[in-house]
Amino acid sequence: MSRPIEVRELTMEYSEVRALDNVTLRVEKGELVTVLGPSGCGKSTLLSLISGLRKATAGQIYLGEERIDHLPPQQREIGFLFQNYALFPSMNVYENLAFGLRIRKYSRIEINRQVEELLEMLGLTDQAHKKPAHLSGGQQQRVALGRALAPKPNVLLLDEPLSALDVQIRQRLREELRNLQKNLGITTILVTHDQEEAFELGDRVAVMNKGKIEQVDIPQRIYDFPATEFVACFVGNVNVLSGVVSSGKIYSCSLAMDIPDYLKGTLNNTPVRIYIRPENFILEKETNATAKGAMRGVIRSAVFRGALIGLDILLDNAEVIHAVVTKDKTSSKGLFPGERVVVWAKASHVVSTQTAPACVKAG
Amino acid sequence: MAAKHRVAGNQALVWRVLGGVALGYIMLLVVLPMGGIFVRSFQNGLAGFLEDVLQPAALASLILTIKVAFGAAVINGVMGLLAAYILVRFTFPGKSFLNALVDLPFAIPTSVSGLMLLAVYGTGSPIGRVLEGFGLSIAYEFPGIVLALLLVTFPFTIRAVQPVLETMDRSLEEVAFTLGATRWQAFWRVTFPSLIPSVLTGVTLTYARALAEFGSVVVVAGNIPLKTQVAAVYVYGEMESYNARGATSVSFVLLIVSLIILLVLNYLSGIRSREGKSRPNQEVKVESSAIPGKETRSEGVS
Ligand SMILES: Nc1ncnc2c1ncn2[C@@H]1O[C@H](COP(=O)(O)OP(=O)(O)OP(=O)(O)O)[C@@H](O)[C@H]1O
Ligand SMILES: [Mg+2]
Repeated sequence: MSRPIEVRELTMEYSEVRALDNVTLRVEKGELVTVLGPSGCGKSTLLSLISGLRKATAGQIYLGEERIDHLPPQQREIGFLFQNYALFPSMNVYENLAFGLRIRKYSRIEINRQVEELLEMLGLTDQAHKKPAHLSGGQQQRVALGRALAPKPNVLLLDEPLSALDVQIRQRLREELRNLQKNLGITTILVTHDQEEAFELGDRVAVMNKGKIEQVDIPQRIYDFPATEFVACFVGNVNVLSGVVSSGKIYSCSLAMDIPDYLKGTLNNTPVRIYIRPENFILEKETNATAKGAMRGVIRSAVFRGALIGLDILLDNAEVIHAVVTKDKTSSKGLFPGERVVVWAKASHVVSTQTAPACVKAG
Repeated sequence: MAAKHRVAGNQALVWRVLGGVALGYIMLLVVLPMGGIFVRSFQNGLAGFLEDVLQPAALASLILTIKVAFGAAVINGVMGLLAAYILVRFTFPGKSFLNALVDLPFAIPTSVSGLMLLAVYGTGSPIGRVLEGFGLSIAYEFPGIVLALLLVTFPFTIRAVQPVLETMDRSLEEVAFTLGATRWQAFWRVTFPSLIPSVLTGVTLTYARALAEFGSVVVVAGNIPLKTQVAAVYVYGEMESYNARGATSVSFVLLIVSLIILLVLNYLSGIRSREGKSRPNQEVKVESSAIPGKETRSEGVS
């Protein structure tokens, strides 16, 4: 029943906006891929094309080996949970869940059996005869989810399923959703602009920007090895330092780093932007010894964040960086506000020679 | 403090006076004239009233009125629903012009509406001659009355349904499509149930308006007693021939029927506003037992 879904070179143009630009993505059977991107980047458009509610300008969609982009939504058997849930207001919970089965002309006994099972699974048995308007947000979300799952679809599409909910229940439902998806083994695409949600739920994460998919990978690699400036900026915190290429190395002020492979052969004196995650700085208290290839500065402030401490450091060249170190290190090394420090970088993530930054983000 | 109290007191007084004015206004314009009709209809007691109403021409005009109004309400209920759906859910050239045209019957004198119909469907016109070939004549006949009423009342259902349809979430039908429903199934199972109150409102308004119609009917169907004479026209005729009591008695019946319809309408809009209200969301209890095999996942940020 569950099948892989794949889109190839999908492009969607509304009258003047190009909402999707040559998007290719494959989601394996039983896999959950989260699509992460800022508002307006084309996430909902992608889902509406896969579901068949809109027709793509160009490109193909495959369900398993079968090409489906010419099929109307009724024949694709793809479950869709809308951002606003779109529960049928005149039907109660039971009737909402039964809708897809009634359309398919299942017998009454069969419908009853399946709906009871769903109600049980979603913890909604007591709410079966309530109208959607009389349910809480979390209950509405489950009804919408159950309604999409009832006809046992090939693929499940979730458009920001948790963003309409209070923060307190969001975390609970996130775990429930994850477990449910794994237990059912249903191929799922979940769209969100919430980075934490994307990372926690996705087997893989696809980061989208301006209608393009910039990177698809497992969460850890998206964070540690962002493929583009946009991904580095959009995912997690990052420091952006300006630097220059010089004889096989890159320098930002006196900080020296190895040049990444993809920039080998870049001319000397080419200006670059260097992206460094806050936890990838190495800090030492300044001594008289020369610190080769390091920057110097003074700790301006420290913010306590549980096991981690965030430090703002004013460099001698007047740039400010944001570093994160463990609490143990601050005390063992004496890294307190007012102290002078030397700073190395463990690794840089993205180095770009493009002139316009993908995003502006202070460290 | 004291000054504040006095201001509040003054305001309460102002509102009490305004309330009294509004009430008096309704009394003067609606309740008193109704009472007047009542007193006049029954000036010779129940027997006199019944005698007036049971006059063959009077009774025929009342029955005819109720019949044609019913026909107009049913036809315009169905067509109005269709027109509203198409005006809201489809885009086509000339749509906004057509939309503006819908209100035209409200803006022109009903006698002009009648003339327009005669010009197109009358005995002298080409279409009228074709229709007569099929044995269907519009002018001075029963179909003419219905046609006149349809023209005069067709905005009601459209304008009652349209705003409800416009504010209705389009994704409701889209969800239904993804669940396998055709457009037809999605309309009847998902959209229509939410439209019922507004359709009924439109139909009731149409019926009430059709009961009261005078100008267009008199132009299209004339004033033939026992055949095309509707109640409003009968009342006018009796007034002309100085039978004031006969006129008021029939008027009284019309008034009562209209009043009942408006009470029904009031009840329907009561249902609608109750359905629109939802109970305030209570905080959710997320039962952790809902899904087996729950485990906490660790976050991967060092
Ligand atoms: N029906 C439409 N007609 C014209 N432009 C549209 C239409 N739907 C979306 N767009 C445009 O396409 C782009 C992508 O929209 P889309 O709704 O897919 O974004 P999204 O990533 O889902 O955003 P959000 O997070 O706000 O829901 C936007 O620039 C939007 O303005
Ligand atoms: Mg969206």
